Amino acid sequence: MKKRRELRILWNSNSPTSNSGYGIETRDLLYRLAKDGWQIAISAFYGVQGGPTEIAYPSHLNSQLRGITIKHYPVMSEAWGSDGMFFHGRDFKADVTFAMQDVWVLDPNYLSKIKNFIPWSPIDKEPLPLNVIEKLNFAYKIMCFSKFGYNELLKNGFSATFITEGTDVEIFQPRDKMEARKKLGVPQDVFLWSMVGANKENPPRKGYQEALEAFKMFYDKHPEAAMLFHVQQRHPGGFPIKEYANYLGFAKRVFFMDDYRSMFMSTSDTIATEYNACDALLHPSQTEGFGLGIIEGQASGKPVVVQRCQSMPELIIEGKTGFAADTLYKRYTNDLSFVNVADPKSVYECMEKTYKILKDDGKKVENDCREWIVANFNIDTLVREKWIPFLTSLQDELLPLPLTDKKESSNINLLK
Amino acid sequence: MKKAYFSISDNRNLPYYKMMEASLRKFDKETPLILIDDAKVKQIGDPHFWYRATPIITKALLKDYDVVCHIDADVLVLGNLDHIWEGDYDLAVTYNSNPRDDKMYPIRLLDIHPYNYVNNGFNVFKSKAFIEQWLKLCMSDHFQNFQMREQDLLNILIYYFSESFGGPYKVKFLDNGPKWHNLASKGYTPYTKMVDGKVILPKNNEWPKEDKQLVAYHFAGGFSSAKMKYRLIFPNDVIQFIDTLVKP
Repeated sequence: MKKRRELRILWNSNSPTSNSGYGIETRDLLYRLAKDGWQIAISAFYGVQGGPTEIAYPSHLNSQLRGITIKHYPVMSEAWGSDGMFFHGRDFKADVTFAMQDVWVLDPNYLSKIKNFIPWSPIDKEPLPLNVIEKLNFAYKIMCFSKFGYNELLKNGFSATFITEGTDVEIFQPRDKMEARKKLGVPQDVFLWSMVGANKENPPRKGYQEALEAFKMFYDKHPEAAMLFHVQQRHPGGFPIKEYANYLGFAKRVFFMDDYRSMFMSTSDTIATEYNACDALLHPSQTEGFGLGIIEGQASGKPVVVQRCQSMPELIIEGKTGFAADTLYKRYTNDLSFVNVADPKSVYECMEKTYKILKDDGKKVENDCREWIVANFNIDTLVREKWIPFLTSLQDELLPLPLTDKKESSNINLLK
Repeated sequence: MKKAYFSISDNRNLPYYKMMEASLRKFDKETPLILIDDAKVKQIGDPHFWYRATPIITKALLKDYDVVCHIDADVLVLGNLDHIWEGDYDLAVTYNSNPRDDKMYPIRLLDIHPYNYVNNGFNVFKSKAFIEQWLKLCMSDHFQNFQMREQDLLNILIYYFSESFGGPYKVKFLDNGPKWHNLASKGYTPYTKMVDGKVILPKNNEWPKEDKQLVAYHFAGGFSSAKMKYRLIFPNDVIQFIDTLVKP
């Protein structure tokens, strides 16, 4: 049966070349959909300037996607691409415009004019901030990528479509730890924790201070411990990680991926090497709409310590593939909601539990982590079983065929 | 019994009115639906018309009809409404709020419980005397003192001057039965499901305590960007049902 692929899709997010979490998910999802024949363009409000350009899937990553290109539109005047969604959408003749980004930053003057706006957005706060609700009201449909987000939307009267984020389990898979350490120049005899994330603000959303304080307690008990940081988005207002490690007295136990390489030269294969070099990940973020690194790390066979709030607990199997630390307190924010500050002592206790399960049977932990992600967050499966049925149904809805000309009927089975 | 629906809609609301009309006609092809449009509003010429329109129009219509149902343009009719005409009453009314909606949009009037406060978007009137008194209040000095104008005065008449309180008016609360008609389900619509061709909100620990059939749903909220966007608030099976209702 011939596949009908008439729906024209504009996707507003970070460019895949940016290596942000949004960019990586955009890459892993959209190049697969393009391979399946969907007509897609990216409005890259971060990562492309100047004019439209065709960008190919990185040739050194997944060979199945080699040679596939997607048209990228550049950022215009508005930093978050509200204007791009409207003007690029008009140029591309988009039938639908997806936005994979925070919605509260978007300009309602453009949102009201965008054809079939569908946010696939992080919901990372409880209660749902009013500025998020206001922007969601402009949507044609609402999508989210965490069960936490889905439930928060329900509580606010929204009926959303939930499709989780996924990861490329070919790129992220267990590989030889010692080889990875050798490649990165990390000592072979350390028990290595890693943190991969942006560092754009202080207090830091990724929970660097709480993680470092917890690491101090762990290091006091385990002098072989070390930490590896990969900060792929750096800002002058970010948290002084190195300086705080120095203040706490263990600066020599902290390794950093070079800033330039982290920000501009590190595609997923580099991150995968870092995960493979470490023993476990720390990810006690203060807010998470998803937390892509949590599933990338587990796909690489590494357990993750998260915080028990928002999307994070749903991404691990507690006790088998990770542990969830308690919240110390909730800080009230300008959007009339909260961010959760992890309890460093609880993070430390989770680190000890992680250390123990790894020492007891590290191979089993690796297998558990890997199986959990392959079964639930494999991007190939999500594209095949969730995204293509969703887009097919959307295509039927927005571009209905005469009853006599049905080429492919949608058979949608999403959590609704 | 001569009956009619009426709705008031300026040009901006006409697309919503068309959706309401289409959905109503799926269940009732005969009862007249009278549109009070921009031209008629201009003809009436009352500068406060939008805040006391219901008694003004109802008074006029009760000259020709025995019973009239005021239905807002931003209502979707989801089920048969034959039952709303039945019974011995002067007015039949529907509720404005519920536990979730009250947290988002609290409305307080005197000592009237927020869940009992009546919304003016879907009501049925038989009594000329009631309408006469309501309209006089709306034309009095009291009118400007109430935030919700005609709706607040309607609630005062219901909760201070109905039969239950020694007054003359028999009030029927349509939402007290197994069917909901207005805003009582607002915020809970994602939990609805299709059962035997009906939109059902199943009982749960929060709201409601008994299964309820939604026979009408009122979007309300002024010129919200989510107006009539049923895809944002209903699950897929109900969306597919509504798709068939709003087709002309």
